[in-house]
Amino acid sequence: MNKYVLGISCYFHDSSVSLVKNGKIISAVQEERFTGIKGDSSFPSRSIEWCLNINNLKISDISYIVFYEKPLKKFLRILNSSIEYFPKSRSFFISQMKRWLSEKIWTKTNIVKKLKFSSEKILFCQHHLSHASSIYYSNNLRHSCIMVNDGIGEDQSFSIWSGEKNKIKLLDEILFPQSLGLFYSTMTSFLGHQINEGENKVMSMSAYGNNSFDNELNKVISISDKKIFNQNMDYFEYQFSLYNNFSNKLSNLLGEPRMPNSKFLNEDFVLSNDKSEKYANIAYSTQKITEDIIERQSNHAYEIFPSDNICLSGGVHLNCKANNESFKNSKFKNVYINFCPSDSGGSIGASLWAWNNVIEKNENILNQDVYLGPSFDNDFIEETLKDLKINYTKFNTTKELLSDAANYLLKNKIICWFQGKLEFGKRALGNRSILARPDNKKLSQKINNEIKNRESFQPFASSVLFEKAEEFFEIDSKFKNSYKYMSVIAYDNKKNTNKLSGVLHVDNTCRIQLVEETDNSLYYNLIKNFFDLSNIPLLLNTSLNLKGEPIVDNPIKAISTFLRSNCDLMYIGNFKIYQND
Amino acid sequence: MTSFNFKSIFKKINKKNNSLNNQESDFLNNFGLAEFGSALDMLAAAELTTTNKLKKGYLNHAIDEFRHAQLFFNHAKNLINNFNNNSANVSGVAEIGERIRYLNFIGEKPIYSELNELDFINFVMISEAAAEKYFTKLSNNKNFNSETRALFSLIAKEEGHHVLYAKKELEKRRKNGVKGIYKSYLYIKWFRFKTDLLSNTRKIWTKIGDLILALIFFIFIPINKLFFKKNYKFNTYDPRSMI
Ligand SMILES: [Fe+2]
Ligand SMILES: [Fe+2]
Ligand SMILES: [Fe+2]
Repeated sequence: MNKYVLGISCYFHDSSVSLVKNGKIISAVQEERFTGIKGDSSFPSRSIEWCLNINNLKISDISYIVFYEKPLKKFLRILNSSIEYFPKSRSFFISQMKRWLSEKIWTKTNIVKKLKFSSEKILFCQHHLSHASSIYYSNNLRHSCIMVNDGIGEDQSFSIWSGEKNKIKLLDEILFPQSLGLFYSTMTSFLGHQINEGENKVMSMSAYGNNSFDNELNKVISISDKKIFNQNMDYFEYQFSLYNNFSNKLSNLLGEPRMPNSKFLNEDFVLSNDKSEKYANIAYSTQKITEDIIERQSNHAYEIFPSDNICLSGGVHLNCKANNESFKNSKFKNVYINFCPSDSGGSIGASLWAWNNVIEKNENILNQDVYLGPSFDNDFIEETLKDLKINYTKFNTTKELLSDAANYLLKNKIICWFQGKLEFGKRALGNRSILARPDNKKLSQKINNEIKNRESFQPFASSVLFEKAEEFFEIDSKFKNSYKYMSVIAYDNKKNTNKLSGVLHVDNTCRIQLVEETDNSLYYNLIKNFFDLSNIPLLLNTSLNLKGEPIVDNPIKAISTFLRSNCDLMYIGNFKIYQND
Repeated sequence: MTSFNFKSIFKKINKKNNSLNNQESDFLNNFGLAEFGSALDMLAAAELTTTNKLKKGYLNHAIDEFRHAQLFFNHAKNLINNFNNNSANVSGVAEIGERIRYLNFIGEKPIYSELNELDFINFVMISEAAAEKYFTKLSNNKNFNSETRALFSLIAKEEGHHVLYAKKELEKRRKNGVKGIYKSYLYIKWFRFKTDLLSNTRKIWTKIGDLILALIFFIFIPINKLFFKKNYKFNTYDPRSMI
């Protein structure tokens, strides 16, 4: 008989659900995709319902439900902070208690009540162990060092684990309030961006700066031989405040924080004034010190657990620039970062951990798919289009669809691409994407300004045919397994720079997704078709959503997004739809 | 369409922001989030309805509400940009999500799935009418500048259109001999009354809760601080334990 484990992550940010069948994730989805609320942290009822329905299961078919962290351990950390920072911690204490007493503390009871599930079969996996499991148990590197770096779990912000013979063991850790992730988030807030959302903008800003703020930033956080890094907590307030991340001392050191949405670049894409220059330099030093610390962490990890392989997880490893810079000289030969390093991957990790430690103790070797969410067949899509009275063109074969789309891409059209199963994680990997040709700077500006309302300094990712990547980018074999998830940047190798003008950042890097036919055949063949016409084996790829909204899950949300956007066409299943009719 | 309670909306997001422009922009941002929540309600209706001919109307309505949200956000942004603000400390994306839920009473399921189609149409009509009335009132409020008032009156006008669509649909049903329309109307009036009441009392309960928690904070935390050991460590390996 088949056995199933359901993993849940929620109540912090980005709640999600994953379902394991016989050691492999068969369905997983983030709640935000259903509710439309970006980063939704509420109990993932809709995701659970979908996971069960799509696999024809009842809740009684589930062997275990696993929660991705130990809530009470976290609660005690919060109480301890309140005590330690008394009386400054008053409003922190009050707002945290409201959250905790209203739902978080009742996690187990909530699961029992909402799902009518036996409390005996509810398990809790530690936060960092969930992160570690989400990567170790979803690939086939059986001997691997594992490094987790995030804002905060229960009390860990950094941990090193050994992965050996299908077992994960804790080797070293750094505890709250010291946290590289919260340092980066604090700087994100200082630089006028939303926490858990704007971190990649800091990374993008850093490319415009220089090291003139290194000395100041070194007072805030610095490398230490004994403890990897030293963080001076006087500059921070997140230990005892929910709303203020940094203290006045930081503003005194670095000057006035950046206003949200204030102009960074002018129309010619150069820093608009002295202020922007200052913020660019702060971003530069923030990024640089982060890279240095991660490099130090990884050297330490190699010292205590030498292996050819290292698996990385935790939100900090969404920083694809740091992933490259910190590991390019590392002794690890294979650096693996998958599609779910952030907390939404917690459900995946928790369920895989339970499978491999509570149910089955055998090794299972697998490569986990990333397309794990809802999909819609052509009949459903056609019916929806008819109900909505939207004119469409139908393609009878995939060949026709691909050649039509490739032709329009060639003609500088911006297209929405809605195909197959929804991908899990932060990145659109070719099933829910906005696509354009990569060599037209005007197109990428249009997508930034008129479609996604992003700031003009934010670069775009590109999807590249696997076998052609080396003609364009400096490809490092260390990251060969990570490129497919858009986890690392790569430098332009100067052979074909003119073909990259729409996707190359000012530091000559691009976040790339290497696409193989075996991973996503339709998407691969779309790029291939475009290559045949243009001799360019890549596309600009950004997620199919508008500002402040999550990636779309279903045809209605896709159509709503398309109609509100300035994209030219949408290919949805075997259909093409247009603007203005 | 808005299932939120207008009177409870004026809530400070960031205690550091206390200038007039900041307050006004917070106020507008909250409206933006409320409109955004309404858009999600309508989108869910378009996804879930089995009355195929209503799908398009629901979708168009959702698109209108998304646009309203954007108008409020943009206007709030302009206000802030015209004013020198010294406090970054931007809130996280999850907190904004929480506010959308809070302002719109978004539960685990979309409101559409808690009502039947007829009730939902009545719900749209009543909520839109309330919105129209409220925004009209704001558009005459001299405390706001002329641009803000123009925005309120534009939104009020469009909410008025939504009322008409819903009314037309109910009228069509009445002509087709559908029964229970008035009963459904009364039920939704009661339903809205309950959520409004909940929303108003929620404020009082929050105040009382804050007071009790502050008392706990000032009595128990200092006592604990006396005995506080900094190097605490809890490690259990029981997978069933929450700790
Ligand atoms: Fe985490
Ligand atoms: Fe409306
Ligand atoms: Fe509206």
